[in-house]
Amino acid sequence: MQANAEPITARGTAEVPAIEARGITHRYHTAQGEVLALEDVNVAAPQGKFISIVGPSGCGKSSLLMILAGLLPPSEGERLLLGSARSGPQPRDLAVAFQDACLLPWRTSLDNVSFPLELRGVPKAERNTQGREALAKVGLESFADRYPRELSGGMRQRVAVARALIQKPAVLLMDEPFGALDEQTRMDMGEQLLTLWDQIRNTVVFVTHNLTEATYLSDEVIVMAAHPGRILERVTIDLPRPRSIEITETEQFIHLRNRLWRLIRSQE
Amino acid sequence: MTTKVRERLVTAGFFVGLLLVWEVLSDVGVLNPSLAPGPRQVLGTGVMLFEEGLLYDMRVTLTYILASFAIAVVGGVLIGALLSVSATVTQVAEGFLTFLLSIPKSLFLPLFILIVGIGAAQKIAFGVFSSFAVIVAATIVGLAQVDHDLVRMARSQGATPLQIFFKTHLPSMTPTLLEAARIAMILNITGVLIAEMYASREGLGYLVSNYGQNFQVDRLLVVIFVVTTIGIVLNEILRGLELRQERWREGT
Ligand SMILES: Nc1ncnc2c1ncn2[C@@H]1O[C@H](COP(=O)(O)OP(=O)(O)OP(=O)(O)O)[C@@H](O)[C@H]1O
Ligand SMILES: [Mg+2]
Repeated sequence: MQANAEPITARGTAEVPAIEARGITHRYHTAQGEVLALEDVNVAAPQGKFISIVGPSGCGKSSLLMILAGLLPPSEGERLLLGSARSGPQPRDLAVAFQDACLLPWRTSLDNVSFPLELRGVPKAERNTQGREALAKVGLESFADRYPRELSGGMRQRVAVARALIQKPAVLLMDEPFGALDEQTRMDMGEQLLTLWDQIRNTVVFVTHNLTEATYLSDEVIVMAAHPGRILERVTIDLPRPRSIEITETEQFIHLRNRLWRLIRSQE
Repeated sequence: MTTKVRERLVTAGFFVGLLLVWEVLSDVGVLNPSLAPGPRQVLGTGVMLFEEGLLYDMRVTLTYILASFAIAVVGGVLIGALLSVSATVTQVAEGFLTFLLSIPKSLFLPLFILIVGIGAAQKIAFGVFSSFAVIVAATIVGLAQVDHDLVRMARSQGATPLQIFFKTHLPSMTPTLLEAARIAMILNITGVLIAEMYASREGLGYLVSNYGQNFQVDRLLVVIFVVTTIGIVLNEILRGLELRQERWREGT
């Protein structure tokens, strides 16, 4: 276990990390008493890297992500965004995609996607143009006028991803965005996400409990342990990019995924 | 579709039949024409009343109804939102609301007259008093049902507290509010009419009490018909708004 106070930084470069958690400890106060959800967690995501966080259920992945998002003030420690400690959500630099798509049910896909722009006061015509572009990126241009209930689970997630991307965030945080989907759809979504990301190359922090997904997408996988939530190990995924789905069958891939699997299993 | 048309035809036929029976019964003298004048006579009286200026009274009453409805909805949502800020406050308020919802409002009419007199303010105030508790209660229920994940999502995108209220809370409460608004509208119409019947020199409520006291049953029936029509039209407008919400709602 690494209880180091030194956060990892972009390997070999002096660049500031896009997003960083320093000495994060978080306690929830419940009727049954205090829950220590995270203890002295240090994470840094270098600019332009895809980082995944994996770990058993209840190890504090979502809590950590919400703290990184500025939506949950930690009990102790600080969050640094592009090198400075700004608290609260920072919608111009950071976007969040939540576990269930979190679409506004009374809005069409287009109005959901352009919602962040609406909040910023972008005029309607401009919003709609950008919204349609964003929907086209996730292959849903012909579903612009559908309501969320009229879409499949996978489509809803794509709308949510489009909505996050329309913010043009330097940092994109995703909490099990494909967690509710079947295995086939999940891998399709992963592949589409990578294709999109190859064009943007911003910083992504991606929470999942699917190790294949984590290995396939990431430059680095952070393995967490539970009770209390802490970082167990960081595994560098040095597979070449761009990656296609076939890479999941290579020996190197399987070796890395098995390593993650053993790390998770060692906790039980 | 065709069954719907048939249903409509049956309903329409039923009413036409009823009018015919009524007409025949009053024509042959089974019904006392001074207590139950036939439809033709009522229609004639109706034309006469409109010529005499019934539209003016309709406008007066409709203004009171719409004004008090607007105040009840806006005020009710605001009060409901304020009462929802703390669970303890909500609990106390709920007890008071149950009391307000269950007592007959007309008991308070004399008190209203003592406080605000017998002008327009009394009609509007009593209309508001009759209906706003329903809106307050619906707001409290509606706010409690708002999905916190959606609020957090809006917050992550930089929504201000006002934007969060108008773009997440309000739309997600709208179906609940519209349902309550229909009930509030009925209570509100009743409130305004009773206030007019009790103390007024104009408006449909005044006409009802006036014609009633003077045994002008044909005129009374015309006014009742007009009030019913107003009630149905307002109800249908609100139902139309409610139906527009159907498309996005789950499980409808
Ligand atoms: N709002 C809350 N109030 C109290 N306790 C909470 C709250 N949210 C999370 N916890 C507790 O904190 C711990 C970490 O929860 P968290 O949701 O961050 O875990 P997770 O790794 O995301 O789990 P999962 O994989 O199931 O999503 C758990 O023990 C959980 O019960
Ligand atoms: Mg979680």
